[in-house]
Amino acid sequence: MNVFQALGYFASEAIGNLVRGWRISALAVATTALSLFIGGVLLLAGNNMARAIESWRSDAQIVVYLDNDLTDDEIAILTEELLELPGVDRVIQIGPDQARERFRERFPELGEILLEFERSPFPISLEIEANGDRGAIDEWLAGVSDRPGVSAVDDDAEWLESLDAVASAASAVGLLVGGILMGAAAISIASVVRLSTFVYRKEIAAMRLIGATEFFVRGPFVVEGLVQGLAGSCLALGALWLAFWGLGRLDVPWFVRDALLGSFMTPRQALALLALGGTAGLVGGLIPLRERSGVFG
Amino acid sequence: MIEFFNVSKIYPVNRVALADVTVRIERGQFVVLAGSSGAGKSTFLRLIYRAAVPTAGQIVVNGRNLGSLPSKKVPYLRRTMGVVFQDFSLIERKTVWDNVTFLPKILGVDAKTRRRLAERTLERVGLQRHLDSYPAQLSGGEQQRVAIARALISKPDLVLADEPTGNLDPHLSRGIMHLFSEIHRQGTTILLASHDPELRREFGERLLVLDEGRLVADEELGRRTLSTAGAGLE
Ligand SMILES: Nc1ncnc2c1ncn2[C@@H]1O[C@H](COP(=O)(O)OP(=O)(O)OP(=O)(O)O)[C@@H](O)[C@H]1O
Ligand SMILES: [Mg+2]
Repeated sequence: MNVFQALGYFASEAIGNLVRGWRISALAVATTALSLFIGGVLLLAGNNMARAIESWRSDAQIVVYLDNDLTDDEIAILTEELLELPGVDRVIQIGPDQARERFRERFPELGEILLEFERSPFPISLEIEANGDRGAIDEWLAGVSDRPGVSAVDDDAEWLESLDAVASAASAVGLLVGGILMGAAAISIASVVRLSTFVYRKEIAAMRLIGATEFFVRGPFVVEGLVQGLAGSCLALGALWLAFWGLGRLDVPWFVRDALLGSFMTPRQALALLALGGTAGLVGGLIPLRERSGVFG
Repeated sequence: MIEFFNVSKIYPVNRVALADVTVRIERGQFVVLAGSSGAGKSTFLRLIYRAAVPTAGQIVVNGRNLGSLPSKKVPYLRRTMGVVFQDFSLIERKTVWDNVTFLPKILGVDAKTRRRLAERTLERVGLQRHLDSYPAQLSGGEQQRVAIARALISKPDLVLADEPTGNLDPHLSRGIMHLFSEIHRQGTTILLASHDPELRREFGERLLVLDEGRLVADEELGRRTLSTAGAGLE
């Protein structure tokens, strides 16, 4: 028998096993699918969150809110001071009316609140666009809160940093959890295949007795594991896509959309997920018969 | 072709299945193994196809010392012989046809040749029907004939048969023994365990008698040559 005939034979035997024991196989497939689904969610979230953080970082701003009684000269001095700092690209002054306009645009549903005010309730602010070189800016910001005329500082970098920490923690936990889940999937496939080898132990012995090599004895079980692993990963991939698509149609806040639903997996990542399921299946299919490869069949 | 040198097999704990057996079976012989139940007949055969390893002594089959045969090579040893197992050892999930053609199939024999071999062999054991049945759907005697067909299909040089007529009526038994006789005449070495003195006398060339694991008689059938207890030839 050449390799292709052997693979065909393994596949037909494996499918026979799967059909006969479909209930228990379905369980192994479901376990694999669940593991890969959870792993996939973490991967998707990690990817999209990292991408979102990157894009937010590029529009990150430092806003210095000023007291309304500051004179134009005083504001000009502050602006000059800021522009001299290395790392500062631009400083834009936002007046109270402009701030109110922006608020209306961003939160139209809250616009009515503003009607209660005759004058804009927003303070004058300076928006600083930094170019990534933060050393001097951080130093200046550290001293600025004590200065008269400066009421508050809002630095996007601060929360982006915390978000970054959350994202990398999520990735690390995802990797760990994903690893454990893949192990669980391999073990559950191994148990199903082991059950198969137990159910068919007499005929495995018979095959060995009449001269079948381990290759032929084990082949069908390895393929059985592989099929379960691949079926599980296909299912997971499908479920992930459905969840992604379904959530995308829901009305979710913009930051959830950005962080979780930015884009689906790349084809490479999807293939990797399939390969992972397949590997778990192969490992699961290889484990059970290792223990009984003795001479005596 | 088969040589036992002081072979003993002791199962735990202290169950002597074979005790210090030395014997040589020549190529082309028709040897019958006799002995009461538990005498060690199956053990004797199992040692030859390496389903058991001796506790002491050496076994040489076709010039190969089985003691130094790596387990990876065991399947290839088994393929050189056709074995009819006492418990048949059929593959339950496969039909009669698939059982009989299993080894030729994995050995890569093409479908047409397989079919020709299988049809002929099944006809010779009288099993032209039931080809699509599963072993569990067959009578004991039918299962036994499937086992015989499977052992003979690839025309091995050596046939080991453990009570191959144990489940057959006298008429079928004789038919099967004639079949063994016929393939023996074509040059096959046959080693067959049997309880039936009449069949032994009629078909065997040489009789080995085991008793509690000891080889207690070794006679050429028809005329008595050697009968010294435990003695091997030469
Ligand atoms: N796997 C085993 N474990 C323990 N003891 C065994 C095993 N196989 C055989 N024996 C013992 O070895 C002895 C010889 O057994 P064997 O099967 O060779 O006898 P036999 O001559 O074939 O008997 P029968 O005519 O009933 O088939 C018996 O006492 C049996 O109980
Ligand atoms: Mg026996």
